[in-house]
Amino acid sequence: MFEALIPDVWPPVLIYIVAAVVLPFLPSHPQRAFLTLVVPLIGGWMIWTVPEGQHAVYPLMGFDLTLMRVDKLSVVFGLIFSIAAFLAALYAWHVKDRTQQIATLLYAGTAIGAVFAGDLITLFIYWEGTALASVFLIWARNTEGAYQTGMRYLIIQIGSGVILLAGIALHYQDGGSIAFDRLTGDGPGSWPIGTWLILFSFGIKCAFPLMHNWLQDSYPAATVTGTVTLSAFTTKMAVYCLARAFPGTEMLIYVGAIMTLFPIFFAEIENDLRRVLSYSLNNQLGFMVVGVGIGTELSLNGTAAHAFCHILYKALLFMSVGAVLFRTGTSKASELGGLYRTMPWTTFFCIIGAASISAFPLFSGFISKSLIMSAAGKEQYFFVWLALVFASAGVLSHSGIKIPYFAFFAHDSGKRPKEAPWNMMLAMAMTAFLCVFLGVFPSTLYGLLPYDVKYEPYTFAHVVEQLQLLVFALLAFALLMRYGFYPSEEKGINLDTDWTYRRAIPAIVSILLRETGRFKTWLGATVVRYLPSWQRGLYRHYGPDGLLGRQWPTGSMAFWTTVLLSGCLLSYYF
Amino acid sequence: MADKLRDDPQDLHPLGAKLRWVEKDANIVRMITGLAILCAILFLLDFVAGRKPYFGLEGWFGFYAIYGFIAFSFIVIMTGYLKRLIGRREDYYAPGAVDAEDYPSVGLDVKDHTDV
Repeated sequence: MFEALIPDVWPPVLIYIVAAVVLPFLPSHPQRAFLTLVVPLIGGWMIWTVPEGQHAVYPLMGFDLTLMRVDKLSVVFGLIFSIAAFLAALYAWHVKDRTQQIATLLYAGTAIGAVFAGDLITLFIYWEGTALASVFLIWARNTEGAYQTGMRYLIIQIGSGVILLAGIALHYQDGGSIAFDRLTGDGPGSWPIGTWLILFSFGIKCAFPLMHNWLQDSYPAATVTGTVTLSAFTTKMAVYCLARAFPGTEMLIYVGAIMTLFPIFFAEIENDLRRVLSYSLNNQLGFMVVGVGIGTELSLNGTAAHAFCHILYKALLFMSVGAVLFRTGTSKASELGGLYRTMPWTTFFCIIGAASISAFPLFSGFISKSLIMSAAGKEQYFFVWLALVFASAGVLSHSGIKIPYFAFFAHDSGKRPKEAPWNMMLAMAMTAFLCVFLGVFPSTLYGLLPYDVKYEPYTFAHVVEQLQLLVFALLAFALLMRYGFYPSEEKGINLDTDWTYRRAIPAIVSILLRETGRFKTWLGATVVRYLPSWQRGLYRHYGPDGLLGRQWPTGSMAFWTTVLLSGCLLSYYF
Repeated sequence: MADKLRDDPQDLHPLGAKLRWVEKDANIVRMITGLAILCAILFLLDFVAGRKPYFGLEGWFGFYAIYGFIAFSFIVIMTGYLKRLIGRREDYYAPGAVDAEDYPSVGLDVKDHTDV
């Protein structure tokens, strides 16, 4: 009987779940930290060695649930999630909080489970699993602000799951299956409501424009190490889902292009460097979404490659800013500066992350973003291509320059913090190595992509073009800074769409409640005031001596019948 | 606040002490000059790059250089206006907002370079 439950291939998520259950019972901190480190390695090895095809298929209530759909697209995401989980665990080696350790394991495990889900029901379960596990990385900060931010995050994340579930149900009802495959059909015009709901739920987690602000609200509110973990999984899981279900959906090209543009301006004026990176993350997601929308082999390869590289360099940037926060107590640009004197290695790793995200040749962003840019050019999306080039200059501005410059150089903050602890340094060093390695040897990554890659990023012309874009942007920065046109960092926050649910809606609800209360008070007072006279009037007419009471109920009925008939007669004439 | 050039090198990380040349005005001017020379070389490389543009505009001489310079400048200048429009005080959403709170010390290990 139990033999039927043993899968032909063990899903990697199981090892994460088992480890999360075992972890609290381990007696010492090194044992627990070691467990968080070794699980992603084993999980990664399982993914690397698993044969392609559908595995671990279980019938449940008439549905076939596929826990392991293995193909090149799911493997490349599964591998990078494993690497990210390992690096995040190493970075967080010093963290003794078991809640964070368990949350990290479950979060990474469920995200990996989602990318191998072969059906929509399994996807939904892991989709909600990531939401539930990850919120503890925000709450672990243990402040009132973190608690409230976590609640907002949870409502939005769970909400996206509920929308996904509704979409799945309607999609199935419309004659669809529960298979998690391409849902594009004959284009958006032919989509039933269920398909739209599924896309909408993916869009929330992918931080589409106007649905994006949960990201910038919550990631800077997490713990030092929690933000590094958060940056890797949720949004890239959504990108994977879009690439799986909606490749070639043209509207995504324009959605993605907008995503690359608007966060640039928000990132530029933001003071908290972890929020700057959150906006930057949003901008990078835009490139991936454009790749999904174009839908050619080149662009989908670009999306997968960019997700892979992005997870690494974004984690590296969050790690370096996290190390600064860990040693100084702040990640606000207005309170930082000049830290290279005592944190030169963290500075160095941050610059590697900055060079990678800016797509300098020999760094990872160059070999992945180029695939998407070329796809936009080849398919002749002129304005989209123009937006992507503009956004590339913007990336250099807020992530390539702003992060390292204001944290480690700029004005001297007077802070002389100690260099980051060994585990953070090692995690940053390994991540930085991968960023450079992928940039120098792109074929390593290209070999993992869903389709054969017939693209050479290192042509003389392409390197010159990219260097022209970036070096001239650097010159603009140098001149603007030198001549005082570059704005200094100031304390403060900026309004975004979260204003609607943090200020506007609570204010409207408050007004409604106040006015409802007033009306209720007025109504009560009026009733109390006039009730005796109403009682007397009723008694006069309906009491034992009243006109209508004498022949009651016949008299009353006759009276009201007359009134009604008179009303009908009058309405007929007028 | 410490004086940026009067730190005792003993109080800095050895690597950090070696990097202090980046702060001297003369070196900053040298770096900008070097950057300008690099820009000029890259601009001229357009003659020999043998580019294969996807669009007519892309094929213009020095397109990437000019576009990069203008785009960056535009972003920086526009953000000044945006900040005036949507910028608020740090405690705008307080209480119960992380921006107005200090990060709890229990999750940190704040140390000076000279601390053991």
